[in-house]
Amino acid sequence: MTAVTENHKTTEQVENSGPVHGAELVATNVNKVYSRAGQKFHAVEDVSVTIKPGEFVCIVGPSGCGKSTMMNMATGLLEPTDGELALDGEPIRGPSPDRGLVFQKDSVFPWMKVIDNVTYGLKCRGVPKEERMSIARKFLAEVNLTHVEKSWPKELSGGMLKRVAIATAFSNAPKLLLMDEPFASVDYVTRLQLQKTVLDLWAEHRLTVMFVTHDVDEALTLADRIIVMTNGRVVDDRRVAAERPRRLEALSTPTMLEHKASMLQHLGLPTEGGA
Amino acid sequence: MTAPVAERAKEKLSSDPAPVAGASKAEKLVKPKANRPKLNSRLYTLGSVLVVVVLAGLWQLVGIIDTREVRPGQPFFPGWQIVLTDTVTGLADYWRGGLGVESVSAGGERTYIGGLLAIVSHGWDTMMRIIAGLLIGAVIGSLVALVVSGSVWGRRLFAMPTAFLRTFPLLGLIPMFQLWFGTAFAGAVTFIAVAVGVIFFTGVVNAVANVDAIYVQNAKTLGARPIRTYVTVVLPSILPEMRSTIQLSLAMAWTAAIASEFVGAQSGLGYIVTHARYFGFVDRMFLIGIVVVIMASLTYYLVSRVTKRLVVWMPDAQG
Repeated sequence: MTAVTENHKTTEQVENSGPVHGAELVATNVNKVYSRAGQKFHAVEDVSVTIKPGEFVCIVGPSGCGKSTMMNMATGLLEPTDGELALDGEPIRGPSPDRGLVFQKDSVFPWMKVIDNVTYGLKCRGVPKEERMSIARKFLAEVNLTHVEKSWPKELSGGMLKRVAIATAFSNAPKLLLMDEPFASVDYVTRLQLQKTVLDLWAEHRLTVMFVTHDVDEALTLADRIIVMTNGRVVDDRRVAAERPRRLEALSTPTMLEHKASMLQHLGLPTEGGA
Repeated sequence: MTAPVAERAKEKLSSDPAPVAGASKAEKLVKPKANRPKLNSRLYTLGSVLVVVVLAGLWQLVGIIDTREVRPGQPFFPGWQIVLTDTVTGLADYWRGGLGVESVSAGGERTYIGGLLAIVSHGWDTMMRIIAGLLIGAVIGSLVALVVSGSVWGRRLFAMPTAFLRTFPLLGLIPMFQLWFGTAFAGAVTFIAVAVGVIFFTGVVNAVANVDAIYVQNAKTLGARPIRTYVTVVLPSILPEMRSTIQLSLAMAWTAAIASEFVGAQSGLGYIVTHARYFGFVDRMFLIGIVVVIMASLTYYLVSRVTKRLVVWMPDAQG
């Protein structure tokens, strides 16, 4: 990514660079049990984590490890069977614009033009038209989509739709942004560009991000902190203090390779010789 | 219909060409696929016309081969030389007079203009019943369905009755409707409205059940309350599926209208058919059949044109 050259800062420097808009997410002894065909299935088991305001946390794990369930509970779309999640001390009950969500599947409303999608949340909150248009245009510019403001989603590529979803989520000014494997279905180059877009917006707006992925490299590129989950439990929780922005080479430094090897081990893939 | 939309969107995702580095500004909109080339489309039209001509020829051929008659002078399979001449003038019998053309029963002559006026006036009566029945049935059926499917309990309680309703042999109950509402306008309209209403009710309930949950969840996480979610997400996303419901209900409306005119009605295209049957006028029934086909096709075309505008946002909207 030749484009990623400006602003070499460590995570700590980024954290100190501006007012933090993000909120603190606290999960206390959270459990989620599903009943399927008379059998109980523990999707999330006794998870307690605290995500600090402005932190960029990735949750990594294989399919069915409970990471998406965790995310849906943080959004409020699912209720925990036991335990509690709270945002800045307020217990989470149902969805709220405080907690934005970028989905894995396409969630952009196909019956609304791009600009109407981006202003949707603002409209729900009663922001006056002029103000919401200017906010939406600002975020469309930040994700390089000014030129498609009046387009139908059907006219956009998959990567562009993701950016509409990101602009929509950010323009609603959430305190916590939840991203559920948002780039799983886009090609490699587009994914790198989207990662940069999200990191830029995060650095500028300083909100808390909880990003679910099954891709260890993606987590190492993005996160301040990586939580590894398997079988509904947190099996590893580590800080990644590497300099930002992290170029592709940054993933090959000894520290990063160590992180990677250790996480893969937690995921059940023992590596030989450390990498 | 939302599922196919999502499927297609997925396909688009996977078939995305990898953008070149720094392509953000150079990104072009994905152009919707070009329609079928014009030449091909013309060939298809020409082909369709040819099929119609061949079918008309076959009808003529059957009339030549099979010369049996219902009664003297009334063939089982009247050829076009009869249908387009004597049959049209014969329909003047159903013109009630006016516009300077006297009715046959009042001593007027059987003329082409009289026949055409009869077709238009009775066609108009049928059409009015269809429009009134369609509107009433569509509005009531959809509203009830929206209320029912707006709540979890509504959906649960009405799931079974809805399935029953769909299999209900409504056409068999025309006499009952006529006893209740009479054989004139109100009876026919009520019958059409009920028939159409059932289709709209089941169509809307199903379409709402098929709404992709991701859109509803997206609206909720963006701060939309239930009513806004329903109006801005559920309603638009059922539109594609509603298009086929509308087409289906149109077919039902025509069937119900003609059928309701078979019993007791004093006007309408169905009335002419029933009347013709008493006297063995196969040619009149046949001509009315053709008139119905033409009128129904026109209504299909118009409805298709109008409703296409509602789904202009759909990928590959066709219609």
